[in-house]
Amino acid sequence: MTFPAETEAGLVKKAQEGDRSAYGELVRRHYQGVMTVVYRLCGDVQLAEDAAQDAFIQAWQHLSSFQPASSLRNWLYRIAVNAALDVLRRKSEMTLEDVQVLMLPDAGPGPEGLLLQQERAALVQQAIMSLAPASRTVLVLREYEGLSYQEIAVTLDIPLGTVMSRLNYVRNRLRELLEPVMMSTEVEYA
Amino acid sequence: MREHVTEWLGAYLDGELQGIRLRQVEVHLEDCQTCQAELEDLQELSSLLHAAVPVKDFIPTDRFTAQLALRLPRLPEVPLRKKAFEIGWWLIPAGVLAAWVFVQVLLLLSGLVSVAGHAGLLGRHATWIPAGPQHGAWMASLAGLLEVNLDEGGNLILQTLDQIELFGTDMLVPLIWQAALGFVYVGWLLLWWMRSPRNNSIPLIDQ
Repeated sequence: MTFPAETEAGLVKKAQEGDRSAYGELVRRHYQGVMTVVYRLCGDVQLAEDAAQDAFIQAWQHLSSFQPASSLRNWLYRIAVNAALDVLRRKSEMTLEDVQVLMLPDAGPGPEGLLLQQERAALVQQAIMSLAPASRTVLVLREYEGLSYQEIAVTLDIPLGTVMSRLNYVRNRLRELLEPVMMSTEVEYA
Repeated sequence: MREHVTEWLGAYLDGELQGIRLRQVEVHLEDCQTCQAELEDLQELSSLLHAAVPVKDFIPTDRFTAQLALRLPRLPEVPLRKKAFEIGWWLIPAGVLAAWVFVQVLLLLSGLVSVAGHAGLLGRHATWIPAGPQHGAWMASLAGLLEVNLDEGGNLILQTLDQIELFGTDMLVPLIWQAALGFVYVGWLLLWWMRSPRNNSIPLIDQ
């Protein structure tokens, strides 16, 4: 069954009544966003898929408690953040070096460029993964998902001021950690 | 040199500043090279975060949805009692509204009949309509029954009651009814607020 013209509110209502097809359509509509969030938090596609599956299953189980007046996307992101952190905790034996290897890009411009890009990607990902989960979550929602400070505050249930201070902290920390990469980039473009 | 605005640069870059603060940062940036360099650093960091770790190709949406459908658990059936409770719960405000409309209509009709009766429009059919204020008469009868002698002050109070009834009864009775219905409605609202799940019932872990 397809629901091309069905509104999100209508789909939510049907899904809350147990309509699995309607829920499938909601999953289709929010899959990309949820996957991006969990992937940025986990740093690995396989872990991200596990986390996204867990998130959508939890959302299905708690759908009756969802308030239709609020944003479904933000609600799903909240569950997705939980699921991603949970998956990471379960896989805590995985070291940062493992993440680094998993994050290597598949293709790039030429052997030297590819090597440089791989190295840079690994360093950036390592820096992101070294952040505390709370800080990393705020960074991912702002930097990669483009949520406003207000949306992040609502999604994570934290004050607006905390969103700003965490982002300031995260950016300063990343600048420290990635200083060599940023300097090499400057040289490259000079 | 005025104080640097480094703490606001992130929010400025994100387009989150407004009004006086935005103007303050813009003016400061015009002639502060330190803050300009800081802003460039932040922009560079943002570009690096996006460029260095591109989003991978995830599994196709349809495949993911199909896999998920196999894992979705069956939702527990809502018990009949709970359903009945839910329906009953939402009938309360509807009942309050219906009672309010009923009382208003009843009071309006009663007022119209009373006015028509006193104006002699109902002829001899209006004999059952009270001719005047009743409170004073009732109280006087009650005092007589209890063998209490009303002094001058007591009689004055009865007269005042009659005056209030004459001019205020049409306001007093609807007011009492509306206050009672409002009390029930506010009570329902309070209960509704207390039993509503907070923040969609999904706690965030490890924040």
